[in-house]
Amino acid sequence: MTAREYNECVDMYSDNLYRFALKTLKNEENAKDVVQESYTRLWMKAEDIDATKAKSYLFTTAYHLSIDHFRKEKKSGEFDLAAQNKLRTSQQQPDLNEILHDALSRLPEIQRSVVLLRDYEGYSYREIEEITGLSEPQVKVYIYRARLAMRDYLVKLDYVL
Amino acid sequence: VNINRHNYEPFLIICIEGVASAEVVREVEDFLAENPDIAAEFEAMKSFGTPHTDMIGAPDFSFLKQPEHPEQLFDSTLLEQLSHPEDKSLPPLDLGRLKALYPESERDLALLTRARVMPGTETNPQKPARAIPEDAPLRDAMLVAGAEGDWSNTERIAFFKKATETDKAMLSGLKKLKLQPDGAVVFADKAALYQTPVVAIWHQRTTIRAAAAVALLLVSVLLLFNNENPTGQAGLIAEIGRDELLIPVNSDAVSAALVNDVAEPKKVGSFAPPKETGPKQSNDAEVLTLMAFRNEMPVNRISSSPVGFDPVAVVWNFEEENPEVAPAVLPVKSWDQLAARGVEDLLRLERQPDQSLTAAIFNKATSKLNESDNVRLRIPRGTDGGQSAGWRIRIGQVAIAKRDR
Repeated sequence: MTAREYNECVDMYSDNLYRFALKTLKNEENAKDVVQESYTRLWMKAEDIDATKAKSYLFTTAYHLSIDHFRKEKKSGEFDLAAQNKLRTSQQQPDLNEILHDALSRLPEIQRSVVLLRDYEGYSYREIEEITGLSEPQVKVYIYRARLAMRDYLVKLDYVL
Repeated sequence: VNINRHNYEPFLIICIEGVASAEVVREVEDFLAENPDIAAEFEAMKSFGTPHTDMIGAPDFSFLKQPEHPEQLFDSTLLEQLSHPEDKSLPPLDLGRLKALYPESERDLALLTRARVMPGTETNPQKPARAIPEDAPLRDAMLVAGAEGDWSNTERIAFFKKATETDKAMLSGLKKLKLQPDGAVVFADKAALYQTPVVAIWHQRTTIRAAAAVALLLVSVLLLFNNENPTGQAGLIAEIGRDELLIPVNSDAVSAALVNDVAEPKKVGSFAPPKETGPKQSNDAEVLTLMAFRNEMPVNRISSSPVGFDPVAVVWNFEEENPEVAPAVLPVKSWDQLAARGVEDLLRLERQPDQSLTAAIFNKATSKLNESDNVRLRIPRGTDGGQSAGWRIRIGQVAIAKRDR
């Protein structure tokens, strides 16, 4: 991958990667760190990575970094719901997308990541399998559970789909 | 094995005792290389010998165990068995083990595998579609699969033949559970992510000298032009001839000055003309300033030039409505785009999306810049030269900033 291709990857994917990391980690600073680190690793391996695989590499790295971050913070007790509440800026009646993101934030981290990869990036089960290292049936199970949890959350709020 | 400063001691002991595996020895070596203080401790331990393991007890590696989490306890063989029950090459499914490992997985996977074949299969379209299950978990699994787009056409048709209005409403509801990314959330610090390749020092020097040579020649040409055209009428501003550029220039003094200029990392360019060599500033005259930028040009582009300074970039700050020179940043990618477009052209102009900047780029040694397109090239009168603007042209080598006339 050339420097130019790498820089194009910055233009094309950094926003998506940041959104993915932000929603997974629920912390802006950590999400920025994840994006920065993912691109640093991509650049360090630029000679070995084909430009067509760069997006997958970035999301794979970001996924694993996010999971590491999450677990570290969970262990040290830094993670709390207050952080995620900071991200909810709208004080108005939330629309469906906001409620869904609220529901998303309540999912276990792996389910959350898998759903984000599926919905934000449109990845197939197979691609998510490659990014996360989960098996395809696992990915399906996580998505299945996540969808039902999100649906149940909406039902609990009396939201009519 | 993850050796760190909190758990290294048992590893050192087993290394000294010669019972460590090759992998552990290698990791210990890596760890010691990164931690010289512990390496010293290790050397001391080796020289003193270690207490016999009977005295200290066998090393306790229980800390290496990972916490078990149900999410991680999927077993690939079990998954294969559940996903492909017809596969005779797999050992028989051990449901007891499955349940012991992960009570929920049996249900989840059974739901999905059973839902997948409902209500019909593409491989056997003649097979009568099964009725939509009344069992809620099975129906949910089937509907989730439908909402995720996992159904074949046959399955989809069969579903809509059999489904009640409630089933359809449920499917429709599940389809709406798709997250939409918030486009307003962007990564603001992209500039920190961009990279440029490192240019070899000898190449930088060569290029800087070439840039200095170009700078000198341009000053000469432009001064000459100003003398010949004191009224400053629109027309040819500068012509860079191939022959002129190929004149060998011995200008160590200027090179040194430019090296000093470009060594300052934060101020890579300036609108200010060099006091000693720059032409006098006048409202009527062309005021041209030569700038050398910190050389971050990709090697391949530099080396393609016959004289080692290709391309020469000419940059204006351009804002018709606002006479002030606004701070502007021309990102690397823009240069790349310009260069890509202008390979065969003598002159290319590019206006940035915010309309604040126009750039021209030369890709051949013989290049002309003229003001035939006066609107696009006009620099507002009365600018202060933008000294504080802090141009951040990361791939520029020699640039001419023109202001006022």
